[in-house]
Amino acid sequence: MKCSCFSRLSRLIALIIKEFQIIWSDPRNRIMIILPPLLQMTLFAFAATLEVNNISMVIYDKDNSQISRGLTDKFENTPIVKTVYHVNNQQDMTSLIDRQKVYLAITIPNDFAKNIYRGEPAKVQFILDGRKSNAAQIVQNYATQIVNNYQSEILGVTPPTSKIKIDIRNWYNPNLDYQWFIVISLTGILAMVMTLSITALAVAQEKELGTFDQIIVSPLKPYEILIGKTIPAIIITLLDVTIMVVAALYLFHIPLMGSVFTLYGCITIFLLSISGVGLFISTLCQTQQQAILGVFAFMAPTVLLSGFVTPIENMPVYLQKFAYINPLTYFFRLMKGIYLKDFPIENIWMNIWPLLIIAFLTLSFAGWFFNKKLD
Amino acid sequence: MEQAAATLSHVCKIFGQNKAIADLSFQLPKGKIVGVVGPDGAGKTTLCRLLLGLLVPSSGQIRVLGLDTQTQSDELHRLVGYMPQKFGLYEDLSVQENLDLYADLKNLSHLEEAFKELLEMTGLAPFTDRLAGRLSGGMKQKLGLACALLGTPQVLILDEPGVGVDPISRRELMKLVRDLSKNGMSILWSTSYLDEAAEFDEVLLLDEGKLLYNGKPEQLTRQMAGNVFLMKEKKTAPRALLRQVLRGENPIVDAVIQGDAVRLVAPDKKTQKVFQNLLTPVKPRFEDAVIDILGGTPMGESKVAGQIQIQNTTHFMIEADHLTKKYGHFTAAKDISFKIAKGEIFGLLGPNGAGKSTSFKMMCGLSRPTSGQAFINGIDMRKNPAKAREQLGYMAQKFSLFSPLTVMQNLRFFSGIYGLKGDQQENRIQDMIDVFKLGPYLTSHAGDLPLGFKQRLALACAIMHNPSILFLDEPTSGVDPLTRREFWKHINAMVEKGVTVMVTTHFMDEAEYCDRIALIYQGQAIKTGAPFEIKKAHETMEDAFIRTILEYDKRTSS
Repeated sequence: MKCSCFSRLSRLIALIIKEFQIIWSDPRNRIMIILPPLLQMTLFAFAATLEVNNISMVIYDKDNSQISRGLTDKFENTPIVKTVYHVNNQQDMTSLIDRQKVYLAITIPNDFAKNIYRGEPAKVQFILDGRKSNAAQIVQNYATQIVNNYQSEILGVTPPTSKIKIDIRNWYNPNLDYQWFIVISLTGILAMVMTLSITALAVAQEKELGTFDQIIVSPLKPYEILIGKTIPAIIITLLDVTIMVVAALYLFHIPLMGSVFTLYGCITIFLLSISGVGLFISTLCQTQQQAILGVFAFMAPTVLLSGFVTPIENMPVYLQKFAYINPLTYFFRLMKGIYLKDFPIENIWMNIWPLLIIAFLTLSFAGWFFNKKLD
Repeated sequence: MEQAAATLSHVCKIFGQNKAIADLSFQLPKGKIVGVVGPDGAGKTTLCRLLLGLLVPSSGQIRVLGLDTQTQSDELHRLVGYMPQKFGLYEDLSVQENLDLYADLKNLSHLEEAFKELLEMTGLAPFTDRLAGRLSGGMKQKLGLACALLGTPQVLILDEPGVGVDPISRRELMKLVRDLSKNGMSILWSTSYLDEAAEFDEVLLLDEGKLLYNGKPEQLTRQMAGNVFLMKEKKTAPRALLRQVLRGENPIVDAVIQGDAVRLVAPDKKTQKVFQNLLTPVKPRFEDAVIDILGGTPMGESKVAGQIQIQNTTHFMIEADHLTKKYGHFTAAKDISFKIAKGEIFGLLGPNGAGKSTSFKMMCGLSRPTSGQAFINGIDMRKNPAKAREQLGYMAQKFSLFSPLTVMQNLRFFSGIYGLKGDQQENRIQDMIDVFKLGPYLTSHAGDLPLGFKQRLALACAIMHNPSILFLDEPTSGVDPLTRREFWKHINAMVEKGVTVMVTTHFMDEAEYCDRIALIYQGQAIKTGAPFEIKKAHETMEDAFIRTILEYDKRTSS
């Protein structure tokens, strides 16, 4: 029996080698494997940071007192703020927001200075462009911080009126560097795209070549054929991930707080869950073209409902449910956790077990469907 | 007006280093069918495309209907109908929609009458709403022909319209085209079926771009008169006899199995004398003459069976027990049973869509039967597929190889998945390279190989693990007659060593290599037996096939 196991293994190895050769034999494939991580990494990461760095805002100062002008100065001297528009009526302010000229509109009421002198609570209104919820949240944090700092400045070291000093500090990303978030998330998305497309194309390509029957007729068992398709996809993706991890460390100076082992372990489990989906798409499709469409049909909602574009808490409740069966959701948490705060084992486990369940389900479903399709 | 529909003078076409057409001069007579015959790569398709102005000749002159194919191509395209090898039917469109589309593409309008006539003629009238993808192979070709005939062209060019089409449909197609030529259309028909070519008015025999013969097929056939025999010996089975004569001790031109005898083409008087007592003279056919011109059948013994050892076998290696396959309400195969003994070649013959592929697939485990069982060397295909499959060699339709991989990578992969490793693997690969003469192609991509070599490589990949059973699905479709003879020589050598073969085929003469055949029609095996039992005297296999089907139709309809 030992002998038979060994021969099964050598068959599997033949299958895996072939898969690498097929992928490598096509120059287009070679480019597809190497280029996207580099290109997307640089393009996306830099482009995405600009958004929160050079923000524009508008101030409607009804009070126009010394104190209110002081606050305006504070905003104008903040490095992330590019332009500050000044308006003196509500319409102009609304129009700037509507035309997406600004992220943030601040209204200072005409009793602002008076209230501060009286020691009564003074109000400042922030209006944020909710269409860019992520950026808006970050900008809001900044703005709150600026106002709070200004408050303590004008009221002296120990402000008599406000007993609670609000001190916002962004943990794990002390400078609220948006790049960090983007780069880490992109690593996840790219890993998903790679594995998904390699596995989805694999079976469809064999069907196009007409070699699929040939493999089915061989003594290989269906699960071995699927393993033979999964392993090369995961290995290639892990190579790509390594490029991105190195780039994150040395190009973007993102600290890796957790261990490399945990990181790669989590990535592998995530990729297993994704390759199940890819293989399922592949068995469903007759041609590579169909498979590519299938990949996109899966990818778009998966990315959208993962918390990458919009925080999950901001989604409608019924969509939030989808986020919780989405492997990418857990993977993003894990990535950020391992990267930025060296997640303790309980936290990792909390996000790993859903991934394990998803991987088990997608892979067994792909296997079951693969078998069924043989009829 | 000129007398000829097309004239070529000293035409050459060179692709890179490769001379596809070398100094070809001929005239396509008006109102006649001219067959372009030749092995794969002879330049048949190139010639068709040159005539259409789709290719520019490297040198020489081509005029079609008095028009220059380059400068007057617009005018020309209105007068010439073309049906390429793979006609571009849109499978997701209906028959009528396909016709409409091609009429639009040709800028034709008000065609209701023409449509009606074409649909009537091709027998497609009842199926105008059916999707083209749902038509049988023969019907697809007829629809392709109808599309090519839109706008009533004066010249019709058909590039291998008979490939993959069953004999009945092929005959109908021939009859259709024959009627067209009677009405004055000039037709150029390229084919690799030699029996088809025998019926043309004239043939052009091409080989590697060179014209070997131009004239009436009968004239060529007549040259072989007195040189063709049936050879029989009481003690020796035809397969062994064939091997003997192919060993090459006595010069011969061709030898194939026909019924329970060997058909021998031997112009050599000494050979005729040696076998004197075994020979009965028969009428020559076109194929005999073509093989002669092409230089004769490949001689020598196949080394492929050198180390084959068949062990642990049962008497019946393949057993189909009441196999039935249903897709919804449609029964693709109904109650099919047969037993194939060790060392037997068993053929499944039948029109496209008759259920022969379905039966074949159930036997090799590609499709699960709805009911019934399939046994491979006594092992139930459903219960222990992996174990059963270790003993199978499988050659898929169209030689399914990994075309992006090199020949060597293919050999390595297929030996690998059948569990060969180490020295054993290396030796086996080397054997295959030697037997099939793959040496010069080792680093070529499988997809770039000439068809004949693809077939060799596919066979090599299928037999590397010394299977005791071989499944061959249309193993020689599209391959020229010489390569086909060589292929069967290898198969015969393996069968002599005890390998069992199950084969599906379109080529009726290929059925002659089988010990027994089953005619599959409408999902059922309507007749099973040895080819010489199924054939009546003086009947070709094709005649017998068509007669059996017509008899069956009559029986079931009454």
